[in-house]
Amino acid sequence: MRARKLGGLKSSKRKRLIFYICLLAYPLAHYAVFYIGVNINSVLLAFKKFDGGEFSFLEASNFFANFSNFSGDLFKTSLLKYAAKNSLLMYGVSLLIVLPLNLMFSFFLYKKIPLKGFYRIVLFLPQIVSSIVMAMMFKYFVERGLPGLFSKFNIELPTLLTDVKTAFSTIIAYNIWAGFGTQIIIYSGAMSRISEELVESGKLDGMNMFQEFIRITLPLIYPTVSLFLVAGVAGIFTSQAALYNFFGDEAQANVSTLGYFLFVRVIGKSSTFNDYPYAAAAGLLFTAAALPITLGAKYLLDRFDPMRDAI
Amino acid sequence: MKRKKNGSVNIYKSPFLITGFWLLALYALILLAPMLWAFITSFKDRLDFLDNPFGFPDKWHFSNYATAFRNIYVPVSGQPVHMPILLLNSILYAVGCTLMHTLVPLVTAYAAEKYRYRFSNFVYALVIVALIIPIVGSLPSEIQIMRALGFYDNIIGIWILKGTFLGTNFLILYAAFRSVPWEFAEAAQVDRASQFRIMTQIMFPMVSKAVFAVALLSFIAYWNEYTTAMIYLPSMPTVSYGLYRFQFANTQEINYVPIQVAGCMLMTIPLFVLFMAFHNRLMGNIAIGGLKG
Repeated sequence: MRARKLGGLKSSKRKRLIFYICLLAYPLAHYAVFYIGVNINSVLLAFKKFDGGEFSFLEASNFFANFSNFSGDLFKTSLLKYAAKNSLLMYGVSLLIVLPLNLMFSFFLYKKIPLKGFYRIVLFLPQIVSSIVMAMMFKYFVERGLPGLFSKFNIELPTLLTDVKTAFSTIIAYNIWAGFGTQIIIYSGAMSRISEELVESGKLDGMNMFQEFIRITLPLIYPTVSLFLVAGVAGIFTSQAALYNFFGDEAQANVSTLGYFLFVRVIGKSSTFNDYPYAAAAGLLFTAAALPITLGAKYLLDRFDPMRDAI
Repeated sequence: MKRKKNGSVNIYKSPFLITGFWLLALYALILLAPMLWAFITSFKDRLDFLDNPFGFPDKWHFSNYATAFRNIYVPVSGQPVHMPILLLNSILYAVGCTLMHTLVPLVTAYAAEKYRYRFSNFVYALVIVALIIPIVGSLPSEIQIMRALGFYDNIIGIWILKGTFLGTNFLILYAAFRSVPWEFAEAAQVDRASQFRIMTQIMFPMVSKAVFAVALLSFIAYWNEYTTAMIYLPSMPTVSYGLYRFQFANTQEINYVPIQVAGCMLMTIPLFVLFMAFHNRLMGNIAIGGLKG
């Protein structure tokens, strides 16, 4: 009897394990092909050239040609200098302006301020409306609508998106304007899970709303915030800042970002397979630069985790 | 802080909340003004817009929408693909990708959270590593692999490409499963329910709100996104890609602002209706764990 029970238990454990393997088979196969495979291929591609209709490895004497071509461009051409500067600036804006606003707006929704339902819809609008529609509406508004309005007061506006002096700051304004959406839902979701008792005890200690935000809310949603912060570092190298929506592959050099530069290099009108190895090499160098920054950010965020001692 | 009868908080006792209220009001104004302007402009004719770019139209030209609808197209092998087909392609693309990008993270999150093998921690770590270790510039390689697998210009191939468990959908669903106790499954096991039945009939329904929210967010994102169709589906363009091309059109009939913004409205209205119908099911149903799981 006992033996039969043991046998049944073993069989049940085996079935459980088989089911577990079946559940993970497809996701892991996908991971093997589209994450590991793609990335290994990307590394190999950085050492190849496109010649005679196929990709082949570069000669030993010229093995790092794609890297040297890219680093040469980085130091010689103004395009990449602008792109690097703009990318860092854009990341700074998202870190110092968009993130704090996202957190504060989420808090106000969580606190159920008047017109909460209306504001919730407004804050999620940039997510519902396609990025291409947002960009088109913004473009026509600042380039055709606003100048028309200002001309009534005899003020002549420059063409904000194409004038060298105003183009990038207009792009930054657009990215703040359209920078809300999913994060609001996730942050306010995390806030709604904070224990009421904790908030009440804060009130009994005489905390005002701002103190509650700083001392209770932010520390308790810190894991979610730090996750987005760490994942966001890659944005320095990948964010196009909506430039493709505005300009296709014809954005001026002074507004370019690193993400846009790489994207256009691969899918631009004049791109060919010859550009793939160059883009792969550039991507590899960007990854090499992004990795220590990301790990450093993670280390610092872990170190300053307000709940670290509590865990 | 006392609440009013409608459940909203009385902001006048907190300078922080008063500031927040007016900050949100200012943002709402800045966000909605160009949208409202675009909506009103979409009913103007060319001269009316030039004379009066900011006021109401002299005459409301609903025909602008028909003109935009007729003229949003993408040439494929020299032949224009018009809106009805673009819409169909968008539905196929967005629904298929949403299903894959919800089901795969759902199943993986379930396995990783509810089956406490050591390997489950490894699966969670894979997601976190992919999220925090930025691999930049893999697009050319991905295009190559897609071509090699025969997935290029193939809708099923695109669905497979999007069927990844990496990303925030996994983290949201993992957090949802974490809040569901395993005792329900144990009770079902006593009744000899199979592992598959426990998963589909007991555990999945318990996270249905999070699944719905994830699916809705994914659908909105895929419906709006145009670069995948532009890069990988040259024979199956979507509405979003059609609109992207529309703004660069140089045909006289459509190359003026009212028609262009009418095209924008056409693209936005269906999703806005969808969001208004379901927005209450989005809020509060999504949470995400941290880097440590």
